[in-house]
Amino acid sequence: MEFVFETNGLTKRFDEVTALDRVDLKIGRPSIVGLLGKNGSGKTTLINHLMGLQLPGEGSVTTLGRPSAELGHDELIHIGYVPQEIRLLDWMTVEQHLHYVSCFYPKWDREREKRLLDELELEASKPVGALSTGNLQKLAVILAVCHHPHLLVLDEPVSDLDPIVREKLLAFLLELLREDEATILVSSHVLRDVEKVVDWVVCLDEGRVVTDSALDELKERYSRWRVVSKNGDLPEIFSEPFVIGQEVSGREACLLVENGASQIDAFRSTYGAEIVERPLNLEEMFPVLVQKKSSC
Amino acid sequence: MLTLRPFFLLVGRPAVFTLGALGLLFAGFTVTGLASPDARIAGYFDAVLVAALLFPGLAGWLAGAVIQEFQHTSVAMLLPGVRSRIASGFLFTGVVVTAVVVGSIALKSTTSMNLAVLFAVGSGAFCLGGIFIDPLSTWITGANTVLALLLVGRSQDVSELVIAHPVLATALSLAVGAVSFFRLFARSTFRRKPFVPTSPLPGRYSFERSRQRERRRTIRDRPKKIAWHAGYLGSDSRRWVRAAFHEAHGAHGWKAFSKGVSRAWGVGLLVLIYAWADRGEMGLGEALARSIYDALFRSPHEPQFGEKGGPFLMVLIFIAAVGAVKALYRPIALHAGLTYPLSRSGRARVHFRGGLVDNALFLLFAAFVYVAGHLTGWLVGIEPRFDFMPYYFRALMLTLILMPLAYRGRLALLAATRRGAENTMLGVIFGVTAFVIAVIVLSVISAGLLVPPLAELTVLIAALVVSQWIYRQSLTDYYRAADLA
Repeated sequence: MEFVFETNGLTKRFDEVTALDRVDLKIGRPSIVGLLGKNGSGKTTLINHLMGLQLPGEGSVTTLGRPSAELGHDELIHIGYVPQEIRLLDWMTVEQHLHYVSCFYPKWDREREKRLLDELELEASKPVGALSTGNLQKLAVILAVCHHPHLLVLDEPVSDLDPIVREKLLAFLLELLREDEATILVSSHVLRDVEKVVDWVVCLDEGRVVTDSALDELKERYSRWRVVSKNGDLPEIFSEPFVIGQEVSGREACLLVENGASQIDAFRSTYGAEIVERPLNLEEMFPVLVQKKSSC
Repeated sequence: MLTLRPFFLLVGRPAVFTLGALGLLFAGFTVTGLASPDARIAGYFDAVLVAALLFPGLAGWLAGAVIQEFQHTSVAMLLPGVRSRIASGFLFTGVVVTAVVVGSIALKSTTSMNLAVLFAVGSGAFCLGGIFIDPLSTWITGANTVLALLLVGRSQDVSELVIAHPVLATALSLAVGAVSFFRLFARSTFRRKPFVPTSPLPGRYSFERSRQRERRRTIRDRPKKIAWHAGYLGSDSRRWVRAAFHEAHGAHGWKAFSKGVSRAWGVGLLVLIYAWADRGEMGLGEALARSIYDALFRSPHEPQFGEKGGPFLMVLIFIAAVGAVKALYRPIALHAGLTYPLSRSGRARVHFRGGLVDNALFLLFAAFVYVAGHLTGWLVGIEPRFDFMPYYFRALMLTLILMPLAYRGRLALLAATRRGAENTMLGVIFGVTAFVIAVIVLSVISAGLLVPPLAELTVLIAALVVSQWIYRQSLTDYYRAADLA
């Protein structure tokens, strides 16, 4: 299988700081991948490597079948990118900027451009320098998608957007996945939104990959148990290895469990308790993924 | 034509035409001046060669600046075929500009230099202009400056070499052009540019050092002790002025400031060129000292001050320009985008006092220039002359009187360009030019009035007080109503 991007032992150091530490990733298409991690965990550095904007210290990066340092015309016409820090040509109007960027692509979808301008309520005649941060983000998204990319990389694309536009944008990403069969990599801290669209999650912590898994798998793996004892107080601490977080108060407890589905019956009978199980959402899961422990 | 379009879409805008027109004027005046049959400079300059270098070089600089500005956007790096398309537009422009310049030379003047060789020289200059100010390396910028000064300063010698060795001159020019072109468009350097957010063109002109260079410098020059801490702050506005100085001149305070001043190596290089040109039988030390003195007080390359003889304009222009740049570039003031536990009237007060410190620093610098000039002359046995002093003092006072106007103009410019629609750099260029012209014109008028010195001094001091008072009032008004974020 040919992967959309692939990293092998990717390591990047800046002076004494190791931004990426032996990152091994393989992402196929089509899918929407959520790239998660704390601030400074190496997300943007990884994206820069995938886009060929930074080069590996050690290891290799391949994007669309080619080393990312050598990405050429044939690959770049299939890549869309929305960076975290958006810098555009301030002196152009929105319309001029779209026109300018379109010059570089053999296929530019004017209809998609027009539809997105309307849906995202972006004024085409406005100078780019006069756009608010949110509107600049909208423009960057439009610039990145109108050539029907096979790989779309979005680095914090929704952080400055209002909830209505965020919804529209996420719906559009799903449409893009269907129409263009694109692979979309989304790095974001707005996990509630990301969760609605991603099917794969990669989580970085201090430059290392700590999770590389399907979202559904993660939801099966991690859950929250609401435990109510029928026979007096529960123990102060549960020492079962699958319990990774707990809050106990007399007869009631809230437990975070990893791979607990197969243990639930045994646990119920051991403690004589009622258990209500609920899978964790991505926001609740995040501290577990990066720290391997969490409070309830 | 389709592949040239991306480049011309970037170039075709008013800011580029305005800068181009300014460059054309500058180059035109320079070449016309050098072509004049002045016996004193005729031996050093070849106006034809300077024209073949200067016009394409400036055009290349402008084209390179446009490209670098584009490279600093976040979209540029990943556009398919971006390097080849922009490079083809750059080359096409270089060929056309150089052809026009060489064609004009062929029509307007007589030269022994082969036109094909001149075309190669012009093409090399165009490409070199593209990386003249290299955001990735101060060394390349420095080397380019030295090369340009040498080529222009010794253009007569260079043109003789070009005539004697046309093949070598062509090969060298094309090699310089090819290396510069590669430097501008190589994949590796092209990739590195987006992380250097220095926009060299108006629109978002940043006077700040690029982030990477700043980072490297900070690591290299890490202060030995904590240069600033919150305990320094208080209600005392002197401490706030100190904070403003810290903001304007960085973590290294006075050290960085003095370093910045001492790094005026461009002026040093100019002096070196003078020294080389006028050296004759003198030793280098003596020639250098004489050149410094001459450059300051007896520049042979500048027009005389009216018909009076003696004093020359150069040092006056220099002093006025330093004052204008000091006021417009990085004055001591609190950064507008931050919030401080300081009232609006307090900020006005700090801003005003910061200006006073700036004025004092400028005065120190002017005194240093004057004393150093005389000291250098004295070292090589030139009798100190003080007949020039009134001219110098007058220009100095007028600069001080007009500096508040420049400070206030800067605030207006920042307010006008806060939304990024206008051209900050153009405003600064026009501001400095207008300031220098104003100081020189007022100096000439003032000198021509033949008022008794004491009366003139009284008027100048009164004007200085009034100008500072108006500035103080205007700052209070500004901070009462301005958007500070």
